[in-house]
Amino acid sequence: MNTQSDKHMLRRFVRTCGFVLLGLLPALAQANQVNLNINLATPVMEAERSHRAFIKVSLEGFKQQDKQARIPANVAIVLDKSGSMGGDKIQYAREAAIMAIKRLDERDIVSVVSYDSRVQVVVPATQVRNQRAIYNAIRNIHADGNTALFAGVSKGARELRKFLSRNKVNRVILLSDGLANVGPQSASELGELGASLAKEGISVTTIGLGLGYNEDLMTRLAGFSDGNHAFVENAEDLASVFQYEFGDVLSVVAQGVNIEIHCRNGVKPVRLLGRESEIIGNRVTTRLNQLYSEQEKFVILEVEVPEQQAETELELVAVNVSYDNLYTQSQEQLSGLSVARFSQSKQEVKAARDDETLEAAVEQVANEYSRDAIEARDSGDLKAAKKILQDSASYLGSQAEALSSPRLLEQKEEALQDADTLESEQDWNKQRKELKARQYKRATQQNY
Amino acid sequence: MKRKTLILLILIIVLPMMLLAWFGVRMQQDQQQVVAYQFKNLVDSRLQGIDQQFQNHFFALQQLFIPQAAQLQQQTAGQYQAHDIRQFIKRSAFVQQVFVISDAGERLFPPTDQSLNQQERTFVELTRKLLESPERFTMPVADPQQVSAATAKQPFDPSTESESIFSARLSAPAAQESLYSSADQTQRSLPAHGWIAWYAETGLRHIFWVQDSAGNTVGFALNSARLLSDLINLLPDSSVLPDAGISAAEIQLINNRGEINYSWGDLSAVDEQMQPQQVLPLSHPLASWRLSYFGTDPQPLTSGWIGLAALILLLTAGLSVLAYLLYRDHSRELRLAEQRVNFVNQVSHELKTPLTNVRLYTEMLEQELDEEEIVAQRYLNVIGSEAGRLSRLIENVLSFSRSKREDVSVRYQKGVVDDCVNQVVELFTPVLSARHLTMRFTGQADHLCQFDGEALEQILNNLLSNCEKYAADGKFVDIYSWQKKTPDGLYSYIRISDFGPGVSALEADKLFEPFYRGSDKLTEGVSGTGIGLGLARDLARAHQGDLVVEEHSVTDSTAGASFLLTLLTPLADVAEVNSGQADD
Repeated sequence: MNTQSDKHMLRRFVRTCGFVLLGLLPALAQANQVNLNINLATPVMEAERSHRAFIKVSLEGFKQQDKQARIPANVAIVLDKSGSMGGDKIQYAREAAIMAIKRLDERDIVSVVSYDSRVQVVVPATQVRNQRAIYNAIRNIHADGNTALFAGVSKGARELRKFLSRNKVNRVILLSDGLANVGPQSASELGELGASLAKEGISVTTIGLGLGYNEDLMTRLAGFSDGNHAFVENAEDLASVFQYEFGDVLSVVAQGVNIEIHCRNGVKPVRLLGRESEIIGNRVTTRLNQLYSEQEKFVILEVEVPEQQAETELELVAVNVSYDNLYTQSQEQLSGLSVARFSQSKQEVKAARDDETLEAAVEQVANEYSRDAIEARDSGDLKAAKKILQDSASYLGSQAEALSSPRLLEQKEEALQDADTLESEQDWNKQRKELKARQYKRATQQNY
Repeated sequence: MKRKTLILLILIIVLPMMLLAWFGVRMQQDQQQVVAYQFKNLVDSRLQGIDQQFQNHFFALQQLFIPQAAQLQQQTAGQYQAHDIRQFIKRSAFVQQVFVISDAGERLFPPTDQSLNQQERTFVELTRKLLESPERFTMPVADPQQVSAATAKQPFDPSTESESIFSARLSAPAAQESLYSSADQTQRSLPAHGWIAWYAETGLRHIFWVQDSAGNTVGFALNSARLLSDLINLLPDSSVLPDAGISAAEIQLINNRGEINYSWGDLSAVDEQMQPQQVLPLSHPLASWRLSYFGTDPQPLTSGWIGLAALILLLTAGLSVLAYLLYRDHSRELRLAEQRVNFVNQVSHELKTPLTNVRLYTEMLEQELDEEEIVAQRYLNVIGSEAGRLSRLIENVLSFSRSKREDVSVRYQKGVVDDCVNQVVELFTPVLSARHLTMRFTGQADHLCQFDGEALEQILNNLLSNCEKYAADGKFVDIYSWQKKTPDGLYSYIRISDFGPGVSALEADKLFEPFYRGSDKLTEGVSGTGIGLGLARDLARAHQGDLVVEEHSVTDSTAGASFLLTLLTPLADVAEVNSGQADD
């Protein structure tokens, strides 16, 4: 009996994770491959009732074996030099950009574009060879005028296109401290541009400086092109943010990651938490622009599982992932399955629970709450916004208790704090930027 | 005299300068106009060029989409399965959405029988009206291709920049967006196609449609943000040096809502009130957009103005210096001449008294002398006449200098003109006869009238001594006098004719100018001061008359000079007038 149950357990383990392991095996053998993990938060579900289940599809970039053998970068730094950037800000921005470029070498391409009411290509796309000339050009940027953000990004993208290659990390790094007021200025228009750039393999990282920028626009632009987003309140911190960003850029190992999830056997997709996705029928697709070395990126899919009989197994989803491996310079495919078991025993259900996955899922759900709260606050419904955050906090609290997770408790505290700050009018601007940045970071598992 | 010279000199400087300045200004203005016109043309062609670049971009997009539509048709075997089209949309950076309408007007994509994704739903919602009227897609819409095809022949702006967008190909197979390479294949037989610009969510959106071989219409809705981004990338950024001739300017790309989409240039500040100097509405499919040119007026060519001013200044300065030198020279000469005249005057004055004494004592001696001493008598005569000549000369000089200082004045006295003439004739008889000249006087001016005897004497003296000097070969000097009554009063005329070499018409006027002396030939070896005739005429004019040289034909057929003296000699009293008239 003992051995029987052992055998049983083993089989179940193999069933649930077998495909993942299968996917892992060649990866272990060949280190230069992305790891695909498909985890079901509740691998064993109660039978004879329908469920909402969370499936975490995570990808981990392989380790960059050799720092020297990294992927060349093609970076366009787009600096806001509008009047509001005057004084210390522009100075810090210049130095941050210079410090960041110091990390690049001859393999890389860099260009610098600055914009106010008009756009100047300060450094046209060039190999990082004559660093002094580049620094001098950057040091000549002085703040003045309005904010032609759209044109700035456009010109930055144009510089990137001069050396655009799937084998490079193509990235626009946009720094802005103000509202776009020349040219297109809505978040949706910038989002559209971001989406188009993403199709070319360009991602846009947006760094909002101070309290004047439009966080919706900046997160949309970054989100659609799968770049990073950061809120930097003090210009002194710019240098470190640039360092992080370049660290990311220089550790990209895979690009153009397409994730396709097919729901099987009557399982219905509800939503994909965190990222923009396309849900058509039972097919969910999403896209990551890149994977970084030794960084895990994941998406949480919430699905509806129909009633099942006890002691049966059901294949919930099949996952297909394709990406461009920058080392082997070829497109690679990964696939995996997620299988759930149904049981009458609540104990078994509880024992099988994947706490880590559930924790991540709860985090993302709470993140969605947080987004909703901002939306409600924006529409002027302060009460509703507060309620959402309080609900989120109680949800986090109950889950934290159930999972005994300090991380979720922390997030609960955060939510309660956010609920308080919602009310203060003067802090809201800063709060909103922080919230947006935090949400973005959570949703995209940003490194910094 | 001095002031006149000064004014004259100033005029000499100012007039040409003013003329020069006027011409210069006119020329500058003309040039400015030409520059302004050229500038306008330049701006215009610049804006047109941009429009053309945009047209080329649309053309390039069209050349990309036509084969892509064909490929889609091929790939899906004319069925346009949703999956394939979605894959296509996912890859294409330019396209936001694709739709397919069958020739029956049915929507094939986005599919009507399957669930749609969010984007497709919004798109269908937005374009419902548009897609319900498929006849739109059969209407020939103005096509950027025609424009491009026409201008493609001109070597206008090769715009390597714009090509680079499309030529920057991605090496991976997923990216097959390259526009210009595929242009040739589709050139052969183009299916029906066109551009539609339509307003959605207050923005202008663009659709390119093309009919496939089965009669389905495939529409590509552009990603409008991407389109704008690409258009912006066709335009220069502000770090590029402005075109030659266009500086301190800003060009703005303005969308249908009147918002600035992009601006570039190096104009320091464009405020809202500024009016664009030139506006160019863009061609279809960007029809409601426009380009506005802001600029300062074409740089007034200050260099031209500066040059002109410098030229005028320099010339003025040069002329002024020259004039000053001339003026200084002139005034120095004038002063010298004055000093000389003064000197001569003083000398003459000093000579006058001893001369009077010489004449007085000569006359006294003549009376004392015996009749028999003929030789002595003759010598005395010569002394007397020579002394007389000398005193006349001195008188002339003094009169002349007086006339220069003050106006010649006439002192009227009662007398008969002929008597006065007779006196002079008598006085001159010995002198002239010494030169073998005989005077023939016919006097018919015997009215008693008012005239200045001294002046008349001086005039006649001068005329007769001229005869003595220049017409000694003529044997005779005819003097003829008469009087004539006019409403102004009685005029006396005296004509003195000689038979010497005469006076040419050219010389006639100059004779009266002071210090002028007849031709060298004539004056050779002849003494004289050259002031006599001038003085004589001045006296005659002061006497309300004149002294002129008569033309030969009028007087005599024989050669020789003939002077006519006219004097206004009012009658002394009524009785005399009557008798005078009776005589006349």
